[in-house]
Amino acid sequence: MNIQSQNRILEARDRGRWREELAAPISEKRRLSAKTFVFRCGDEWFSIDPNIVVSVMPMLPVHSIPNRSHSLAGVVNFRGVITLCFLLDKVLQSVAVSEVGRPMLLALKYNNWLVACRVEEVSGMIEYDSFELKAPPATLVGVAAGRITGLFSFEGRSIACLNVEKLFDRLKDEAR
Amino acid sequence: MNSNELSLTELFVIESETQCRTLAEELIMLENQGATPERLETLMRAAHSLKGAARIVNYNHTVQLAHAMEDIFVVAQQQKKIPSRDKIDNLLAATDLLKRIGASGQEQDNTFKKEAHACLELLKQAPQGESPISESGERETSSAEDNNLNAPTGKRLDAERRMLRVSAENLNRLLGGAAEFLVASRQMRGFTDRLWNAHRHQRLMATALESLMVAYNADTDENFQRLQSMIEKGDQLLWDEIFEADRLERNDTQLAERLYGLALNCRMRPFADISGGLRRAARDAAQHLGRAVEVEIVGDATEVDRDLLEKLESPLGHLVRNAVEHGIEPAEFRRANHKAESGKLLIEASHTAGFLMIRITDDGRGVDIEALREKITARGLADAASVDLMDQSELLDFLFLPGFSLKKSVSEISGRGVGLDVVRSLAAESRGTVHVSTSDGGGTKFSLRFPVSLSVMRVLLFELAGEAYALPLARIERVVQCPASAVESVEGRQFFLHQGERIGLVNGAEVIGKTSGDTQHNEAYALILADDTKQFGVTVQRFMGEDNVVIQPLDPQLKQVHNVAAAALTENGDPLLLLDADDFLLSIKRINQAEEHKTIIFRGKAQTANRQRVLVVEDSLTVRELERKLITALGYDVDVAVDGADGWYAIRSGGYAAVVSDIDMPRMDGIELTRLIKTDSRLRDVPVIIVSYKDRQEDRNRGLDAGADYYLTKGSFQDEGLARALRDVLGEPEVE
Repeated sequence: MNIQSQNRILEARDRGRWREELAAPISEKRRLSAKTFVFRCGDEWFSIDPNIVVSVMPMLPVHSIPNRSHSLAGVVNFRGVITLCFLLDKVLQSVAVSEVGRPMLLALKYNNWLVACRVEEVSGMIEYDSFELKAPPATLVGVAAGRITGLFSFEGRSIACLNVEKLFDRLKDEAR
Repeated sequence: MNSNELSLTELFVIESETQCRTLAEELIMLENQGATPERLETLMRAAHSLKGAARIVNYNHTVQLAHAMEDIFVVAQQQKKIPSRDKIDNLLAATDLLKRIGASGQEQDNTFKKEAHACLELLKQAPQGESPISESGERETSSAEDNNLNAPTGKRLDAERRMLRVSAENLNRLLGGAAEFLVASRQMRGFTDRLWNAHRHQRLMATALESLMVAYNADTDENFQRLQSMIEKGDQLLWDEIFEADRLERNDTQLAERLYGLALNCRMRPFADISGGLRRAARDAAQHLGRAVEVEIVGDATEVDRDLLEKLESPLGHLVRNAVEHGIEPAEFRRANHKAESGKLLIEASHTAGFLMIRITDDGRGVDIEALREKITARGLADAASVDLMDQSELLDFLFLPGFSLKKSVSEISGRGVGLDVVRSLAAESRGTVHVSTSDGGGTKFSLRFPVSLSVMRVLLFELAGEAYALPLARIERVVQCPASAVESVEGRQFFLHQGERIGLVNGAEVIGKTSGDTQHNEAYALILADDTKQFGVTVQRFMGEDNVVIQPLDPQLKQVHNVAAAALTENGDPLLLLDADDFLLSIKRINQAEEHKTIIFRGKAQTANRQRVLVVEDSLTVRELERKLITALGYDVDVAVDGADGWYAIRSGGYAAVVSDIDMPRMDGIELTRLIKTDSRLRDVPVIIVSYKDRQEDRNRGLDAGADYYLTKGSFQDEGLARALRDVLGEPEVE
């Protein structure tokens, strides 16, 4: 449906067709429309646009950088390039980890900036029902609220969708 | 970035740079060496291509200028006449303007309009003073002009050496891939080490079985014998696999190292990229001053790091202009002093002993040392008595001071007192040196020395608080092992005596801001750093050796990181941080100023110091024991291995300061062992001393060809040859 057709007064026959279409239950195939990449930081689950995920790998040796914030673990050798490595649970101020998993490293690239982020566990790419994306709880305010575009449920737990731009803004602040 | 990702304007900037370089170089050749049909064709094509490219991006001034230049070259081709010198001047000026327009990436009418019109007018003026092209392609000139214009030049780079335009991003990606391969190839070593371990267990099993057979008197028992033969067969199979894995590992590592070296070489560009500009600078200066100068450039093909090459262009241009104005005398003066009328300027680039050397030599009057003395005194830079005592090189050093000039008046070419200090700053920035020498009436020579690559640095690796750090080797005065017993303190500050100096110790980990430093117990590893006046001993957790590392900048989002200049990878592929020596020294001073701060280097009592460890590889028990006793008596710790293979296994575990090996041994001989050590990137610095009964010259040659540092005969036990050799390669042993 394009803009032009939206502005046109619908003919009676079209109105009937649309009414039927919109009244029908949304099929499972249509509902699972959004793809996202899911991982755990601390005890919290997050998801991110899969297009920015360059690689997922086991943790690499990290060299700390003197006098930097705790959320910046240091630098790692990612494919021969010295790359900043963040502790994403610290960046996102997640609740401390209670379930020990196998830490993994995500290489993320946005606006030509490549970073590595340590996460506690990777669930991988999933499809979810975009209609299910709900606003964050009202207690999440300020900058943190801006970083979360919404939450959806998956396999019995809430997963927070991260706003990539805001996340990278936060990483820049942590690097300084 | 691929070319298809670039905008048309960006593509034009690249095209303009290439064509303008061709135009400038060929015009200078045209003037110096005369016209050949090929040269005029090259010039015409460059102008024509530039015109076409400019038309696409609507750069109208460029189109008009390039068109006018093309016309001149077409006329020259048709009439077989070389453009006059004035015309060449105008063509060069037009090339300069085209270069500026291209580099600006925008041709705003008002910015270049006036200049473009003026330039166009000059190009369109009727030709005057053109000379016909001779059969050899030379301009038919007077003999005086011939002297000026016969500057020899190197041959143009052939097709195989032609340069291709590759983006820095792609190059870095290639380098990253090669570095990754290098790291991956070294991981194979872990696998072979585990195989060696399995083999050791196999040997233990065989020995246990032998003991069992003796204990049960079962030498002839068929079952035992079968078991023994199975173990031996397994042993042999494992041995074969170890050797194959070892061979593959070495091949892969060597291949990876070669690939890495080749990838690094891609960062290199030929000196020819800037030598054309230097020739032009000399020509313009000479023309301006009415002097005759022959410029010779040697080493156009010398490869220079692309970053360094960009930085070199301007300071070298200054040195060239300086040489023409201050060095080369006017023709009448030269004639009167029995010198050739035209001065000679030699620009050389070469690789010497791992460095890039650039020399600029003129045959002019040389630096007037007496005038220099007067100037130094007159400017109050030193008193007359001190100046009288200074030798020539000390005096010449003043030329590099900011604002220092021997020239009485400021000219358009040089004499502003700026330039030589810039040359020295560049040298310091790029970890290079600059040196000047002169002789009265015999000319002046500037010699510049730089590391071959800016991206690779020789560093000392060490550990601070459990992590790898490095400092440029050139910034470290000395590295010392300092036993606790040698450390004293005054007001709680610890120091030790080194070559008559009391050197204060600071804890390196604390300097970089680690909350608790590395506390030493028996002895400290310290590196001595110095600024202009003071020396400091910085303790580190341990030394990890020297290495060439590829410098990688830290992520720009980090902004400034205190004490850290850059990052690199260790040979295992782990990241390390390269410390900024100057910043680090400042931090040392800062923490020392804190009254309450007292660095504690040692806690606990001093114990025996670690001694250097030597491996003796010898199959004869008698000789082995003799060597062990002798070397222990010299003050070194000794381990022994019974043959080459056993020795190779021991050496791979690391930790040996030197190896003393026999030649004739079972399983692996000493020559093969030496060759393995010397072709292994991690072990090649371990000195190998061969001690053999064989003393024929061809045996010695075999040993030395394999890479041995010494070849001694077994008689050397008596005449102290072995002791001398060990002291030579290891230095005096540590005294407890």
